Amino acid sequence: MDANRFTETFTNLRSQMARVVVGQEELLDGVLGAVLARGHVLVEGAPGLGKTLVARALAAALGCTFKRIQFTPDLMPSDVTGSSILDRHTSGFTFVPGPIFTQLLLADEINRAPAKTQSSLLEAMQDRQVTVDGVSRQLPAPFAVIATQNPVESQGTYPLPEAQLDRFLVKLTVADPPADVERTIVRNHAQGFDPADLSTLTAVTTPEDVVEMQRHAQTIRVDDAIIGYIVELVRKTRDDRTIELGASPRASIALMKTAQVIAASEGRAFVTPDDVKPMVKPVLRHRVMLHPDAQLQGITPDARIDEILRATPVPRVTG
Amino acid sequence: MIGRRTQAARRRAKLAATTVAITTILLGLAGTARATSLSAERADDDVKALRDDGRDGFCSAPPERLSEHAAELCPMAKEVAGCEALVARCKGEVAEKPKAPDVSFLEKLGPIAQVLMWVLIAVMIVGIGYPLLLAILKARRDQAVADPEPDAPRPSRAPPPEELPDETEAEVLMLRAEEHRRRGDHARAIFAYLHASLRALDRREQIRIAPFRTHGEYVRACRDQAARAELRAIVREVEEVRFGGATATDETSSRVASRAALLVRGLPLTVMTVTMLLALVLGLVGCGSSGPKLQRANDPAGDDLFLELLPKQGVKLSKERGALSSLPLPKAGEKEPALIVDLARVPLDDDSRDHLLKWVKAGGVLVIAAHGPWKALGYELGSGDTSELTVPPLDLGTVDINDDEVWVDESPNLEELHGGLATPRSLVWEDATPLARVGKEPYAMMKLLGKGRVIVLADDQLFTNLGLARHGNAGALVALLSHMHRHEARIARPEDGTSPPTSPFSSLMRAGMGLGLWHALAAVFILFIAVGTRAARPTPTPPPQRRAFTEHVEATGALYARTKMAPHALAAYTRWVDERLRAQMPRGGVDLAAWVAHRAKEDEASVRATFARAQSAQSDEKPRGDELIVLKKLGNLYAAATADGNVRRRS
Repeated sequence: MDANRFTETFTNLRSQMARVVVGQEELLDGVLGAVLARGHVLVEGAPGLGKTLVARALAAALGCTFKRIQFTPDLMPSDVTGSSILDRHTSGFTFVPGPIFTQLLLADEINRAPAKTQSSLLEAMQDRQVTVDGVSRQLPAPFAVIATQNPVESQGTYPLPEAQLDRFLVKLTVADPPADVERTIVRNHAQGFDPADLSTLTAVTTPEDVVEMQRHAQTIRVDDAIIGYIVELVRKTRDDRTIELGASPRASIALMKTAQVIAASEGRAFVTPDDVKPMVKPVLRHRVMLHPDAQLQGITPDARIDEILRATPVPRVTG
Repeated sequence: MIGRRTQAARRRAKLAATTVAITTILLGLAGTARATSLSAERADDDVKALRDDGRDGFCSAPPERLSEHAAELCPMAKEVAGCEALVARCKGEVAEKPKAPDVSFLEKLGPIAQVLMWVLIAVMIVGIGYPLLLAILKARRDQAVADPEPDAPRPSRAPPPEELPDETEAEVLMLRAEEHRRRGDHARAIFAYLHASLRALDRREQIRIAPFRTHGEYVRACRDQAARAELRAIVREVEEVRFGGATATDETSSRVASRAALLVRGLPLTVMTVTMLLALVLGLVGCGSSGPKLQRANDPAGDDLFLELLPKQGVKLSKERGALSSLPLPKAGEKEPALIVDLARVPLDDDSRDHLLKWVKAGGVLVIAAHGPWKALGYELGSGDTSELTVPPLDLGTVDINDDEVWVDESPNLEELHGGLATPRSLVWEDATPLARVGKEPYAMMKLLGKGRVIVLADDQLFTNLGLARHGNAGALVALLSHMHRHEARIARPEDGTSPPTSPFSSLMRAGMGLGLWHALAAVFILFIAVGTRAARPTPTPPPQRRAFTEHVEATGALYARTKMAPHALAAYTRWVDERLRAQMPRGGVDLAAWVAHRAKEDEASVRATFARAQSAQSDEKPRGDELIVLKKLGNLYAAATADGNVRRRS
């Protein structure tokens, strides 16, 4: 796939999704970019802001298979991965794949399931395979998890462990839409829009095209200066006194990958600091753990990342 | 006393007037006047000769629109031969005089005007306040950039900005880029062009250069659409070379150079050129719209005839060369030229008036054609010491200007001097001697002040072209001016009456712009606060101030108390005390509690118990209730153990 086709396809995907998702351009870009960077997305936002709609629209536009798991406290790992059951006809065990065997998985309210069930996603997210009864089974390509969680409720929830949080390429936050956007949403519903029916969306790509786009994004050139900038940003999260646990090197890789996708989406064959900077917060915000004192003072990860961005000079050219 | 002075003044007035009358008559009879003498009889002939010589424009070809001053002289026009054109113009002037417009309806517009005035004031306040607000917000942003919070990563850890060029002027960077380009180093050349463009835009406040901003952010921040497009194109080329690994060619640097030149040099030059052309055009239009120019010689109220008449009368006339307020005082024994000031043309400021008074008292001769309210000036001129007038012997020939005084007992009427005025005016001047009257009121008066004298005419009608053209007026004027007793005279120009300002501020204050000046100074100060600081030289950022230790302790304690984390506080304090005390223990010592008990002179078992409890505290355990007591005991032990300085300090 050449750069022009990538850009054209990316633009078509965005416009296709924007037909049903109103006023969530940042979320659209983030989800699309993460999937094309072979990553997974954690979406945090209050109910009713269109998180699920975005995931379904993305699946429809990409032409990928889509499944949804509603995470609950009694959800078992086997409910996610599948299990072997006794086949009366063959008198043997037959593996029945779980919903994870899909190309786009929506893990709705992922923090409502206990840690054991959450962890069942770890192997799938990292190695894109599932091991059940000692047998590893490859997941279809492309594979991406879009998990959602509600930031308000804390009763009966299980916060995601750091190890699993690190598996998510980006964490996107969904804010309440502005008044005019909300009016448009309501007007669309008044005119008969049904969010459950996305038949009006046409697939822009095939799963193979998506894989090809993922490969193309990986070929985007990243200059040493850009790598230095990325590493400097991530390392500063470890030196910050308000951050108890900084981002891992996996964050640096994630930052680079997302920047590559942005560069490719703009038709460039190289990454610039402008591609890196907008992705710093989505990539790092769930990977840094603030010190309790900082939390008590009301400091947020985004605020600290902003400070780090301000304190880190971007790579300059030598004149 | 007053009666005696009045009688004396009356005597002097009669004497002077009689002298003038007799002198005038005798002047008419004297046909053999000396060349240096003023001749009243010859004066009208001189004027006629001047008019025949082409100085008759004010009569034969008067301006289409007469000035107010000239219109006042119109009644004299019909008495002047050959002035039919002016007479016709005067009729037209009278006929065309517009009526005052009815402005009563404006009263109804009063409330609207008041509202508009308040709106204007509000706009002005917003106009001043808005930039100020922007400046404050910008200062806060800059502060946030310059002084990160104490907990933020230290700026020193950031890569040093060694890649940023030292030069800050866009032009210098452009020259540097061109030098790189000449050497064939196109990559460096386009980088320098980019820097020059950014500097130029920063200087024009289109962008704000900061180490953490990307080129894309500069492009998006640029408000000027044209400049933004050029900058975007430059950034694209530069980043392709810098981050994309492309090779910069001569063509690349040429493209970037032309765009950078537009940003650095082109736009300001274009703006300046357009502005200058606009100003020039407006200036020319403004100059051209001032209506038909008035030729001075054609002005009935002009003084061309007067200026040429005096030389013909043997008086060396010159124009004053400087401000009247700096006129050199006459030296003793020297006869300074008389000074003629037509107040209608030369308004005097306070300094000039004061200085002229001193000048006259020192021996100067001042001839004034009054204009408007004479009383104030007359009062000032009369406020000094006056000398008694001495009655000179009569010279029944021509009036010799070398004579000391010519005085008569009774001042003549101007008509007796064959003079005539369009508008009769008179003077009020206490203790002055009338030289000529209009009716029963004095028209010209004289007073001796100190060593000098002042001759005042009620107005300048006799100085004007039309006034002199009327038969008899020239002779009357010459008769009056004969009291100068000077061979030379200087005439003041309009600008001479204004004393030069001592400073630009006094000049503005004098022009009535004092309030505006203060407003402008306030505006400049606000602008300096708003944007001037941007031009200031960068100063090194002061090191972040550490919070006072006690403040830190209090804040931490308050935080622990608020969050009910007494176990955490005890555990943290125990770690700190343990570390500090062990650092001060003698080498080889291992039993901390025993050492502290020895140092604090406390029971060892009690100290051991305190330490055991303190060291067993965990940050995440539930409060047992004795944390603060243990903490206080520990603090006392620490204080007692380190009470004197005879402990080993950490090197």
